[in-house]
Amino acid sequence: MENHSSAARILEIKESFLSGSLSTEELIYQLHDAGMDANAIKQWLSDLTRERKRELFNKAVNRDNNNEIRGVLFFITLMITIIGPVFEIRSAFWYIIALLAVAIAGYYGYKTKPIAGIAGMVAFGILFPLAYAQYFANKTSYIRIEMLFPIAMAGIPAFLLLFILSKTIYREP
Amino acid sequence: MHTINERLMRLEPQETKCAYCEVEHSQDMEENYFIPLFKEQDRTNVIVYRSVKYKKIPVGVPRCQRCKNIHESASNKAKLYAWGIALGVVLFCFAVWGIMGIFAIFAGIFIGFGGTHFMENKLVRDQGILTKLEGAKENDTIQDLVIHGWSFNQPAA
Repeated sequence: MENHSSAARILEIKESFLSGSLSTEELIYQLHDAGMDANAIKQWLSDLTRERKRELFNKAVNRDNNNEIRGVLFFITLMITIIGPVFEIRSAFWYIIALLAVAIAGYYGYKTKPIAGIAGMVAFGILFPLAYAQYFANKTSYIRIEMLFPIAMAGIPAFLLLFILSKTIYREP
Repeated sequence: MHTINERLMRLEPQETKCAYCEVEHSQDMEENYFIPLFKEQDRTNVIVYRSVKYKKIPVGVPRCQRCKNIHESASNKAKLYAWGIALGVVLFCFAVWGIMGIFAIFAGIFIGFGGTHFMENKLVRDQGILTKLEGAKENDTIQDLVIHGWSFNQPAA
């Protein structure tokens, strides 16, 4: 009975520490008082530190990988979206496939915020052909750098949509 | 624990127990695997002009001679197999579709790079040891550096 209550007390102390309401010194003191062996306390703290460090490391590696994947997928989205208007593709089938492709890119690029990612990328995929048509409608000559204007005309609202959805739908960890 | 080799500009491990098989020991510094870590220092993005400055340092992971041989052999075999298959696919597409086979070059590049990576990892794991990256991820110094902003990926402009 005493052992059971001691084990429950140790568990309670550990949970208080994990929730942040106990300092390390208080934890060691209280665990010792509750009957936990000094070596066991040391081992538990060491395991916990290693586990926390691993979590931080995995988080940093995942963040890096996600940023890299996002960059590549954004470039692919840009290419897929630009091909249609630039090569004057009129087939609706092409635009459906292009939108599907950018939606998939949005999902994988923003795996932690998929709705925002898909909405932002699809918005860009829809807006770019319209912006391109609008910008070049009455032009008879242009310089290549002007291509950035329709990209910005589609990209800014798409980015704002992505940003707003990612801030409103998803809570920051 | 690592020490800085100022001549070679790298972090050399003091520990010798192999991080890949956890059995043997590294006998020579050059047997160890040195993985480059990167840290972004400065970035400039002005619409059409993009630049990035970064620091790079190779960090040593203890590795025994046997694991080094496995890694090198797997890397060479994987390159040979993957690029061989890629070349075969491209030639086959040219033979079937004529000039339109030019599009298969993109698929060939994908098969070459992706296949090398996949096969190298598989060949290494089949020998019962960790891949170069997996072993590096178990290293304490590397974990500390990554937590403090260093990265396995080279920053792109």
